[in-house]
Amino acid sequence: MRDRTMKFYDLCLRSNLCGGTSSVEELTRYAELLGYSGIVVCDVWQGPEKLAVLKAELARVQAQTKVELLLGAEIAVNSPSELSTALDAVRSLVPIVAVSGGTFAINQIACNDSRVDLLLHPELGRLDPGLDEACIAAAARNGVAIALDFRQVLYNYRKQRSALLQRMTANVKLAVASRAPLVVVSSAQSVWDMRDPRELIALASVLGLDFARSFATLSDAPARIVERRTGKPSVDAEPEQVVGEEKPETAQELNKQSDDAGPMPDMAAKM
Amino acid sequence: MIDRPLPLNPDLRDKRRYLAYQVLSKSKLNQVDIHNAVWHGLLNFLGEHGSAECEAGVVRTVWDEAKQQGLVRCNHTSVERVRTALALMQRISDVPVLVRVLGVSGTVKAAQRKYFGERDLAAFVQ
Repeated sequence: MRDRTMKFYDLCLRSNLCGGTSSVEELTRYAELLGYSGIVVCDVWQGPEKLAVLKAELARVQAQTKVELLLGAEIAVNSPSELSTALDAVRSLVPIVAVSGGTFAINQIACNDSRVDLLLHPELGRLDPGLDEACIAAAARNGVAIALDFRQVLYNYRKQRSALLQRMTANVKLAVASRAPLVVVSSAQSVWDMRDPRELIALASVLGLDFARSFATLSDAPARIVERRTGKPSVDAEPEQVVGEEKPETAQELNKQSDDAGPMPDMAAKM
Repeated sequence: MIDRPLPLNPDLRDKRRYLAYQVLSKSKLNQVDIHNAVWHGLLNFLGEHGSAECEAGVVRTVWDEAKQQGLVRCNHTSVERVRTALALMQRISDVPVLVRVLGVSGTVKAAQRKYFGERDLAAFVQ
């Protein structure tokens, strides 16, 4: 059984208002089915007018659902000066700002700018991982999360997928060494690209993260970003208690319960 | 004379896991197509050697036609790899699909009880 207090966030989705094929309503319905607590619907930044349309749609759908809907902006630019201009314009308008990486200069600037929340696919279209130790250290310092893009893995095959996984693994190793935040995003453009949080966690695990860190890529790390940008606490103050489960009051009772439970079960199999 | 080797001792047997999966799709899909696609997905992601190492396989005898649910077998150390392989399936017979793992269990019987809603006599006694 999954921990009931654990919240999962997908920090990058695209609706039909910004290049995707599914509506915000459909994305929300599937997010609820798959067990997400919140999703960020990103708009590829082209100006405040287009963003306002998506914002109004999110407000409309939010009234009908329990899933937390957040507005995001994905900045896809070619030069560092354009990135700086776009960040100036967009930062105050949306809670989550993602930068589409790939060019080393863009990756470097995004890691060094604390206004950026996510650096998406820094390894895209490259023969190297796209990040070095200095970049990752800067990302850790500025709280910029390195995003592992599931969609890139999903839509690449054979040789390309193998190379992509290799570069992602290199970035994961660097991020773990420098303690930079890592998140897994589905970057879904339709509901068929979305996956259960547990499946995205499995991808993180396959890329070389241990079990706890894999879970953090979809729960703790994104929750911290959401909390920092929205100001709302993302984790409930008191954890939910399962009905019928009694809390042990003394140390003896606690020991007795753990003796009755037997050895620790295999966590991977239990989830 | 029995024409098969004796069963292994419990400590020498493989610790198997059974992943119950569900295929969500726009239109109804054929069981054979899904099973073949799952095999291809496993071979694509894990490779021939990898899937042998994982002891991966499709349990063809367990299938829920209405919910499009099935079982995949692997050993207890490869659950995450097999889960990822299933997640990376995106089309079956040109229909976009979303494959989700409902849960993992240690025996086929437990998987059938937990995820396929099968009941045995014990359920009636309770």
